[in-house]
Amino acid sequence: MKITKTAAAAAIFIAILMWSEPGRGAEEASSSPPSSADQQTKEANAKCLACHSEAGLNNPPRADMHLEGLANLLISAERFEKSVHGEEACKDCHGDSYVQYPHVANSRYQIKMCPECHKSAGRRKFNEFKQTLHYINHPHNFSCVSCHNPHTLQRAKQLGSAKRLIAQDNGMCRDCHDSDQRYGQFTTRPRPDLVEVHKWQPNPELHWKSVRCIDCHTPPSERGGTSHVILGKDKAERDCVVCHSATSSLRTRLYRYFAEQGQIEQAGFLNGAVLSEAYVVGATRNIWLDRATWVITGLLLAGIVVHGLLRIVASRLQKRRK
Amino acid sequence: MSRRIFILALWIRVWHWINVLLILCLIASGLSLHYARPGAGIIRFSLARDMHNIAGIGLCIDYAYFFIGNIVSGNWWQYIPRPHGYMQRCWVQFRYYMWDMFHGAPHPFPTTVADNFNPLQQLIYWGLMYVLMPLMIVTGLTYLYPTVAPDRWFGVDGLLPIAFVHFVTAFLIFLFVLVHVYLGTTGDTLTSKISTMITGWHEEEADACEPLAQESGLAAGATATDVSKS
Repeated sequence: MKITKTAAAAAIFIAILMWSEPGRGAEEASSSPPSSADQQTKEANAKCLACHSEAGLNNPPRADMHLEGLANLLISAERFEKSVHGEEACKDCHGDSYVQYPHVANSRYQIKMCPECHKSAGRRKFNEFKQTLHYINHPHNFSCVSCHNPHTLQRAKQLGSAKRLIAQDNGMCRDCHDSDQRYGQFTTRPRPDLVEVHKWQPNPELHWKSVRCIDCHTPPSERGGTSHVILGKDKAERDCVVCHSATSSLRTRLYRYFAEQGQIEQAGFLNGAVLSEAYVVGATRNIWLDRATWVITGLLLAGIVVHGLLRIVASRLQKRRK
Repeated sequence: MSRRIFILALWIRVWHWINVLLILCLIASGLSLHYARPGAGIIRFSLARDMHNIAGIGLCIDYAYFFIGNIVSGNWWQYIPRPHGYMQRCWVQFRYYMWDMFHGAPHPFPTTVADNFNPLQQLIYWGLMYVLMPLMIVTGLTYLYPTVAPDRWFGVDGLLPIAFVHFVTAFLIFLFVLVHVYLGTTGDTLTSKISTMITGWHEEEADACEPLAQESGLAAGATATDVSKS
């Protein structure tokens, strides 16, 4: 069949129209909705959270659930989505054997351990952790998740402020060290009262709102992160000036996550990142004010010296006249 | 011929010397806290903290003692400048310190029982005891109980404005101490004013009692406790 020029032009024109007309897929791409993979993850997680949540416990979606066991396995969807693993699927760590219910027997042995994903950092931190009494005294009772709740832990930048980071991180320590019940799960020794063992420090409770336990109870990390060598009371920091000085370690520890406050530093204050949240005696003074005091003091002392010399000279001249 | 009058009751002298000890302690410990650094400092941080807290509370008590004593004894009147011609009298006193004293001129405003202070002293002491010291005490107590301070103030930690006022006030008091100690040497002898602060008796040569204050119309005071020796 002979194709006329008109038919060819029309075919090309129609082809161009079909190519440029926005379809459903193109519309989705241009407005950046969650990818289908994200959507699938959310949908899959929603199935788990249908049971493993407060709502699931109060209104079980199935009649054959072991509610007493479920009560210890609740997750907050809101907190999970904000956590460091919020974009992960439950089964990514818990395995496929948990997808169906009833769950496959012994599924918990298939749960991934943290170092399977957190490879080099996990190995390094675990080697540090093995030096601590937590591991030495309780090698089988402590793992990463003993302190780091993988369902709720948030990064410093997500938390957005030192105060919130302090509350989160100190909560890890105080959950056991401030609870007779939890402490008693690990040892039969009486739990030391936190205020009592910190009484060498002025106003310990105010300190605990302003700085993390690990800021004193870990050595400085050469790599710049936070060491996992948790120090007991004998080796923990007790020198006030480690924080309360111009070279405050707060800059490289608690406040390393938070940007330097340019305006505060331009106004002459030391450690602007710290001062943006907290005034710290000895660490957040203003160098311009300090210099002004030196200059004024110097001028005054010079004036006093000159005045005194003039008095001496005047007195001797008067004596000569007499 | 010398003139000898009793001007300072025991309670004032006791208050003054306790103040000296406390303020010196507070300045030394305060500098150690402000300029704290690892290694050698003026005083170890933890010791400086305790010194500052204890001396600070001591200063509060001493100030209350002064405040009440002033009211009970009537001494508070010494700190109130007489308004008529006040600025001119201040100028006369200032000129004395800057010029007249080098020419052997007598003190323009001799010390009397009614007027222990010259006009400049009145102004400075009033400012010190009724403005700077209350500021010092209020800000210092806020440091001691920091939860009293607002969490945020002017966009920063609520303690920062408190710290600023505390530091500036402390610095002004430090400057006062330098000037006060130096001007304490401007009596008839280098130590006569310090002796007065110990014994309560003011003694000076009679020819030093010819005031330039006649320029300002201020009459020299003379009281029943005025004792003249020939």
